[in-house]
Amino acid sequence: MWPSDQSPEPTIVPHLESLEGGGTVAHPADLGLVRAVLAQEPRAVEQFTARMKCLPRYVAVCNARAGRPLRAEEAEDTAQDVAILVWRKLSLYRGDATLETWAFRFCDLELRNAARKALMRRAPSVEDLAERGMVLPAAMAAVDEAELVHAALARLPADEAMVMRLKHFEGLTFDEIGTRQAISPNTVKTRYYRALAAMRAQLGPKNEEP
Amino acid sequence: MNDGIGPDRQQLLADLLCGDRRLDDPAVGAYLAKDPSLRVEFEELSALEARIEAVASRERELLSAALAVEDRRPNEPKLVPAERADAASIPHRAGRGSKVSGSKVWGPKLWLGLAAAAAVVVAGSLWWPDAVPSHRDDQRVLSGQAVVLHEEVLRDGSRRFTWESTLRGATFEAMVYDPAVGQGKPLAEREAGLENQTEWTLEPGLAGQVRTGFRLRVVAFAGGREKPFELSLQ
Repeated sequence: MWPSDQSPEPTIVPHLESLEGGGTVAHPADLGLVRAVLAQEPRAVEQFTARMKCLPRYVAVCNARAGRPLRAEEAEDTAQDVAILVWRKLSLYRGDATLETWAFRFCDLELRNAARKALMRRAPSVEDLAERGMVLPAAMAAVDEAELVHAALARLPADEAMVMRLKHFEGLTFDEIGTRQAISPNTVKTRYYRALAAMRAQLGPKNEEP
Repeated sequence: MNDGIGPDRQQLLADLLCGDRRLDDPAVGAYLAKDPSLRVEFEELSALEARIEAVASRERELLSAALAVEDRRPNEPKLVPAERADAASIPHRAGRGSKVSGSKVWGPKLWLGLAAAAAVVVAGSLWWPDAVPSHRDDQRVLSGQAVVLHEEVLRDGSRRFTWESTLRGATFEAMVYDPAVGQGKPLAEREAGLENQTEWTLEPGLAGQVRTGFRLRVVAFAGGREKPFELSLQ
């Protein structure tokens, strides 16, 4: 039986008061759900499971965008690997992004790794490489770049990282971020500038392909 | 900060980056005259901003592509770019009230893997679907004109294919073929039929020969043109 075949399920009420970070949690409801899953609450596990059914589709979209380096069965295996990875890493979820967005990053990285392995295994012909050449390297580079940016974000102070994520990854305006974080727009902008300056120090200039 | 302007410099950079002030603002020009490196720093930070935005927009776009497919419901066809076809080709769970029988929508390996991982976290308490709807739907989009394809395994073992089309006055030709053999030798064919006839049933004998990966190909004929649409069968 699918969870959605039953009567509408009550949303898991997160134990907000117990969440660490207070105002620096962008998605407290999702963090509450994860905490409930880790506490082995069956209803939470069901909700989480239902939400993670997006994983194979994420992998499929990433695979298509990369020029389909993985065959159907390889993409399926990758989705399985991602699902296991998500479970293993669940305790690291901090509510910085929605659960789906957080899980998506695993899809992105795992697909890149699987694609690299698949290409090495298959030793593609010159024609095959030429055919994929315009897509696959660029797609892999995009994942590498995303990994760098997310790593730099993860090293920022929580309040600055939050502003950066809300601005770029969730598309909020500075005013909206201020309202959401209960801080003034000027404070938002100052944090944004500091975050950018710190990330510049970490990332340096982008290495462009010759 | 290196210029003696101190916090003002930071504030100015923040204002510039946030769009509150512009480089052609006379007051900004005065700062730039005193500190030419300000422009360089602003340009570097702007480049970084664009770099972060490129990563973010790629993620948003991919997520949106995946979720667009995820949100589909039967009888609510949604046009999606052709590059999302791979995601659309993944079997999609049926909506509420769909009948349940024995075929698999979700890859069994995936669920076994998930279940194994989940068992570590919540031994014995985790639910995973072991039965899934036999009815599934899919859609393909070519040149902005959609045919929504459905496959349904009936109780007697026959398979019914239906499709809905935005092509007005179209007639349809359909075939089921093994990609390894090619379209030249289809397992079964349905010649172009009456206008708006959008259903075809394979009798159990033929339906029993359909293997995972076989393809349903529907060609729509309208206005002197033809457009093929395909669905990978389970």
